[in-house]
Amino acid sequence: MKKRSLTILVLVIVVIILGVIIVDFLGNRPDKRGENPYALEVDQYKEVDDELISHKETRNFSLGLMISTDMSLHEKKLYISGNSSLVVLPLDGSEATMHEILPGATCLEVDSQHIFIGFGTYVAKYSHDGELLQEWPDLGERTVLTNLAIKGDIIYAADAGNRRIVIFNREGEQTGQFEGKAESEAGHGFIVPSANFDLAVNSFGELWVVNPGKHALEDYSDDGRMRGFWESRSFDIDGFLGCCNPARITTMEDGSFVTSEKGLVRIKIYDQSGKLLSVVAPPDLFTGEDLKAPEVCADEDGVIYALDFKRDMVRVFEPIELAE
Amino acid sequence: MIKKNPHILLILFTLILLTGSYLQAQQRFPKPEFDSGYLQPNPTQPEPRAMALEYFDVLVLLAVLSLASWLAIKKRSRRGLLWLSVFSLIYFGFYRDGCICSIGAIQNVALSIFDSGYAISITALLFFVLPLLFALFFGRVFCASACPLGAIQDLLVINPISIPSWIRKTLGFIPVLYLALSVLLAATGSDFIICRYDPFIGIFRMDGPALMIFLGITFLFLGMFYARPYCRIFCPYGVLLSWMSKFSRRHLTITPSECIKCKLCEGSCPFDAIEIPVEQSYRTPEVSRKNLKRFIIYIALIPVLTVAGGWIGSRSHIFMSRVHPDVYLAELMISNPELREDEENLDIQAFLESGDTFEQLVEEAAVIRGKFRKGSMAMGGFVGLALGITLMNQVVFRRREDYEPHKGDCFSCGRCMDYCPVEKNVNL
Repeated sequence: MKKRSLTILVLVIVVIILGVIIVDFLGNRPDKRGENPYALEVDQYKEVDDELISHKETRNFSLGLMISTDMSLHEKKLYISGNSSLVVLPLDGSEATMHEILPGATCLEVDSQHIFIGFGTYVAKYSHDGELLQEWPDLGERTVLTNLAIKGDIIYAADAGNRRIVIFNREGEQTGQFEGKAESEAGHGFIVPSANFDLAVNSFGELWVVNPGKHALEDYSDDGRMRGFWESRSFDIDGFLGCCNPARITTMEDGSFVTSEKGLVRIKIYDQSGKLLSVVAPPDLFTGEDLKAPEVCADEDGVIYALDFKRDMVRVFEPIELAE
Repeated sequence: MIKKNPHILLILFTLILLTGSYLQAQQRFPKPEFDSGYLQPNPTQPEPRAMALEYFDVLVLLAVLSLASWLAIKKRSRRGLLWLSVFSLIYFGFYRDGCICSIGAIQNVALSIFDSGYAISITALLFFVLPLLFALFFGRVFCASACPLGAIQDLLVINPISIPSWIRKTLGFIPVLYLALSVLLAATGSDFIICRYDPFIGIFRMDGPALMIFLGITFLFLGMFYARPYCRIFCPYGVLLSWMSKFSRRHLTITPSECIKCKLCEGSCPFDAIEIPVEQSYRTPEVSRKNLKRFIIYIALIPVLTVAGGWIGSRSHIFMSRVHPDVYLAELMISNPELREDEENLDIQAFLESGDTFEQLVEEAAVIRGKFRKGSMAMGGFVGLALGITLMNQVVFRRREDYEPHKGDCFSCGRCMDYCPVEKNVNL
C-alpha cells in the first residue's frame, strides 16, 4: 500500500476512534442509557410444565382490609389479621365477622382455645370472641415477629430481627429460644436477610422452620435441637431462588409442605424429604412489581388458600380432580 | 547455607508476606452458586490489592525505571529495553490488570487537589510522580520500558509510516486537549475518562465492555502503520512526560560520541522523533528576519490565545457541567418531571430511593456548576496557552550539528542506537 493511502487510512481510523469515544461519552446519560446490565431476567422461569400443576383456582374472597398481614385456618374458618382488625371468614359461605384488635398486627395463629396475634415486638392472646385476654412482654426494639406456630401448650414465635425462634407457654412466659446453630455445618444458624421468616408445626407435631438464606427447611425438637433439614436452591421450578425463599410455608395432613415464594411468586408442594410434588400456582397467576409471597393454608382435602396481599383477597386453589 | 546466603532469608520472608496477603484477600463467605446460567456482570475495577503488594508494585516500578535508565543511557541496549518492556507488559499489564497506572493516576491527583474529601493513596501518588521524576533526569524511560500500554503497541509496530509533519503536529495536540478535559472532569468529581477509554485494559484483563475491546483492537491495528498511536495521539500523561523530558540533562543519545552524519539512523525511528542537523548556513538574514517577525507575532498571540481560550471555556461551562451526573439529572428532572414515574430509569429511581430531596439535588448541581465555571475557564486558558507555545516553537531556530532525538517526543526505545555505526565501531 502506498504511503499516501496508508496516511489516509491512519486518519480515517483516528476519526473513527474519536467518533466512537465522543458518541459513547455523550450517550452515557440517565435518559439515554440502554438496558440495565445488572437486571436479572426471570421471565424464562415463569413458564411451568402443565403436567406439574396440580391445582386450579376456583374462587376467591375479597377482604376489604386494605392491609392484610397474615392468615390461619382452623376448623373450616379462615382468620385474617389486618392492621387493627381481625376477619373471621367461615368457609361454608356464612357471614364473615370482624373484630377490632390492637394496631400493628404482623402475624397470627389460631387453635381451639385461643387466637395469638403477633404485633411486631410482642404477642397478644385473644379469645375466639375477639376479646383481648393478655398482652405478653415486649421482646425488645430489634424484634420483628413474622410468624407464630402452636404445638399443644407451646407457642413458637419467629423473630426475624434477632434471627431466632422464641418459645412461650400459653400464659406468655418465655421458656426458651434457639437460633438454629449447631456444631455441624448444617446448623449454621438462621440466615434472615429480610422480614420473611416462617415456621409451621405439622400434623405429626414436628416443628419446621424456614432458613431463608439457605433456602432450607429445618426440623427442630421442642427445645431447639436440629433433627433434620432439606434445602433446594435453584432457578428452576424444583428449587427456591432469591434472598429469602420460601418466604411462607404451611403443612398438609400427610406432612408434605406447601411453600410460597416472593419475587417470582410460586406456590408449590414438596414431600417431607424436599422432593417437588406439584405446583399449586405458577408465577403467571401473580402480576405486578415487588410481589410478596402469599400466606398459605391447607385443609384436609388438599385445598390451598392463598392470601394475595396485592389484590387484598383470599384465593382458593382446589386439586384439579376435586375442581372438575 | 543461610549464613552464607542471607538473601535467602529475605526471599523467604517476602514469599511469606505475599502468601499471607493472598489469604487475607479471600472472601470470608463464598458467593452462592446457582445453576441458572446467569452471568455476573464484570466489575469495572479489579479487586483491591493488599497494601503490602501495592508497595511492592511501587518498588517494581522504581526498579524498572532505574534499569531502563541504565539500559538507555549507560548500557545503550535496545534488546535490554525491549525485554524490560515485555516484563512490564506482563507484570503491570496482564498480572496487575493495568491498574493503577501512571496515566490514570493523573485523575487521582487532580481529584485529591480539588476535593478535600478525597485522599489519594501514597502508591497512586508515587505511580504518578516517579515516571515524571525519571523523565526530568533521564527522558521518557517510562514510555520505553515501564508502561504496559506502550509495550503492547511497541510489539506490534510492523510497517510504520512517516506522516506529514503538519498532520502529526495537529494530531499531537489531541493529548493536550485530553489532558485538560480529564483533569477538569476528575477535579469536579464528574468522571475518570482516562480509565473509561483506556483501550488496552480489556486486553489486559481478557474481558471488558465491547467498546473497550473495540478500541483496543483498533488501536493495535492502527499501530501497525502508525507506531504507538495511543501514546502519540491520546496519552495525556505523555504531555507531562514530554514537558519533563525536554529539561532532561542525561537523555538517551543516538551516537555515543561524535556523530559522523552517516544518516543511517534517519529513518530508524518509527515515531519521527529524530531531529536532523540544521546548518548555520540555513539561517540567512532573510530567513532570520522572517522568523523573527513570526516569532514576535506568536509571542504576542500567546496571551491572546490564553485569554480567548479562557473565555471560550467559561462560556462553555454550562454545557461542560452536564457531564456531571448530578447536574444532568437535576436538569432532566426539571425539564421532564414525568420521568420521576419512569420505573425503568435507574438513575432517577436510584436518586429517589436515596432519600435526598429534589431541592438538595438542585443545590448540589448549582455548586458543581460553579466549579465548572472556574474549571472550564482554567481548562480553556491552558489549552490556549499550550497552543500559543506550540506555535511559537515552530519558529524558534535551534542550531543542531548532530542527529539527535527530540527530547519531548522520544520514547527512549533505543531503536536508533542500533543503527549508529559509531557505537558499532566502539563495540568492535
